[in-house]
Amino acid sequence: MNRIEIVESLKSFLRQEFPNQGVELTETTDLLGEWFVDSLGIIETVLYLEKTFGMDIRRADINGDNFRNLATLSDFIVNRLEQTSTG
Amino acid sequence: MPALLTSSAVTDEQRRQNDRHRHAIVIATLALLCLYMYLFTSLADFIGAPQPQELAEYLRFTSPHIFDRDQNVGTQLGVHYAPVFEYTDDSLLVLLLVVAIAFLCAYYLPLRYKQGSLALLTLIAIGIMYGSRAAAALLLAHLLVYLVFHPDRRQGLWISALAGIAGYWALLAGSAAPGKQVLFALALPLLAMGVYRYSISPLLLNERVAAVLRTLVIHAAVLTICLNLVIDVIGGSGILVPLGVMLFFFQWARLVMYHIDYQDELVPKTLSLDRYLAVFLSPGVLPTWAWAVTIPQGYAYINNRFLCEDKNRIVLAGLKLLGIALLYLVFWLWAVRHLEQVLTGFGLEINQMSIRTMIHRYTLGEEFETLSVLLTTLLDLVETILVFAGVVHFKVAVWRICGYNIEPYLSKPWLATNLMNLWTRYAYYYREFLVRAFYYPVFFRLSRLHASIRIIVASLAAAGLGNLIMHLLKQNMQHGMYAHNVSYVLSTWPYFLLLGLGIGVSMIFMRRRKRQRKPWTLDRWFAVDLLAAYITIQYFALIHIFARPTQESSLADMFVLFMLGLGIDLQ
Repeated sequence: MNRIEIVESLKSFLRQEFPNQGVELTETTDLLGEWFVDSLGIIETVLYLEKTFGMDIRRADINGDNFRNLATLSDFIVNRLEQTSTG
Repeated sequence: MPALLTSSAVTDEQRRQNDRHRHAIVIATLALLCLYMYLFTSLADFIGAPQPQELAEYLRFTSPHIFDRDQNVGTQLGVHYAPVFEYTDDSLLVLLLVVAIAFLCAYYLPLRYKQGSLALLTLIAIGIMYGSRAAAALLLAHLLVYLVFHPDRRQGLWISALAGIAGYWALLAGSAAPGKQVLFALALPLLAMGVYRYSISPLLLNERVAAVLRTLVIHAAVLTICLNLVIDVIGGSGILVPLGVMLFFFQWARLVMYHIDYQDELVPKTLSLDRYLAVFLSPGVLPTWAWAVTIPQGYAYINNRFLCEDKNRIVLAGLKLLGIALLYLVFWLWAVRHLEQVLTGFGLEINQMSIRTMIHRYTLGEEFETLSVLLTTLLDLVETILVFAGVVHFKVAVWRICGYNIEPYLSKPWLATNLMNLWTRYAYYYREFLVRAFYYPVFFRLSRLHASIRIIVASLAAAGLGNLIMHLLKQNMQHGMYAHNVSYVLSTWPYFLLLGLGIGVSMIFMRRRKRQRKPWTLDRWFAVDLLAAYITIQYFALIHIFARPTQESSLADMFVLFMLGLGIDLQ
């Protein structure tokens, strides 16, 4: 799966799980400030990432750098998948 | 959680841009703090002004539930266990003066001195209220933590010398003849430098040993309590912990958060001492400090929130919260007593709005109805929230007027429509502490299990086990490190189990239910929101039956009352 497909997959998931009529979901939408309702949102997303991308997510991965917006989250997934395939 | 995660790092350049003065804000802040001093302390005596009660009577407002015997407003706000002052109003006056000075320092001093000045002022305030030896012991404990977390060969020597001086003052000053005193005062810093240079510093080069040392200093409170319990069980006399070290132990949750931030590489390795101390020693930790000790969090959140936007906006938000806190602090008892009068006027049995009173009366043979159990538990929680709100809003307000843009601890808990949301609204930072320290480690470790099992187990780990451990520590630190204090807290285990299960189940329920609307939207589901809010807060209130045992009550008594609350009569 390339980065564009990952972004689209995440968009579809976020729109379905966290319908938020007030904000348009773009790559730079502040997910932590405007999209997720609470920490359940983070847990829900972690479960989705684990299931969809087969990723092993660690506690330290849950931070503002990775989860800030769709762009950072996609970069995180791409990097982690690359690490997994090369490692 | 979102707000905690969004707090990205702020540069000093950004802080300088946010550091613009507006004198009207300063005058408003000082005026509000003066009002606090006037209402809650003996300031009127000192300045020869009419007492708050006299003024209220002049304005034709009289209530026996607002003013105490010295004619100012009685309050839960204060400084816990301050031995220097016999009269709590005096320690509160010192506290408010320190807050006012801290505000001026944080507002007007150049950026590089702001956080350091807050730490220094807090240490001075602790010295005034708890004695200089307690302040020295607290400083010593933090210097040891700093040395272990941020080793630096050259700077470390000077800091270890400072630790030696603090150690001398905390433990040995005045305990020997003057000649020996001088010897101790000179020898201890040199000894501390030697120990650091030739023992601790080389050990810290080994990462495994360093990790063990870091864990030991962070969990010193837990280790000391465990050791004292063993000694108590085998019949020995426990270790006497100096007051300053006890104050350090009370910061265990914040130390744990600092450790987690450190492990997540959110704390710079070369952090300066003043920035380290600013995490733990800030005027915001002083008011009623044994309550809500997790406001705000560890290093990352505190540092990222300092002057992260225009400081006048932050201070204004603090003033707003100071105003709200004032209303709670002045009127909580008045509101509670009027509510009690109204309900008893309707012939309802509410046991003085106290779960303990209800349990006590039940153990004496009285019988109750479901409505009485539900009302008593609910009103007990209402009273707790009213008292708690005043204090925690004040604490957050103090952080804010000192330049930290932090979230409120308590946020309209009556609007929660599920238990998970109630926990967030009722104890924001405490929940975050439990989530990061207990929930996440368990949740991510169980990655091979089904999602629902992971959620339930992680919820039990956080709201159950972690919460229980925190209560165990608090009970032992406040009432002595004895086995009977441990057994008292352990006897409340159903409360923690029911809270953990309730939160886990509500999380699973929320996962399965598609979120098509926000709660409290004015549509045909509004009544469902009302019902959900009532059920949520009533469940939370009802499980508190298990958290309030009396001396004569048994688990069976509390179980009968709990079941009665659910409508099942086992009496």
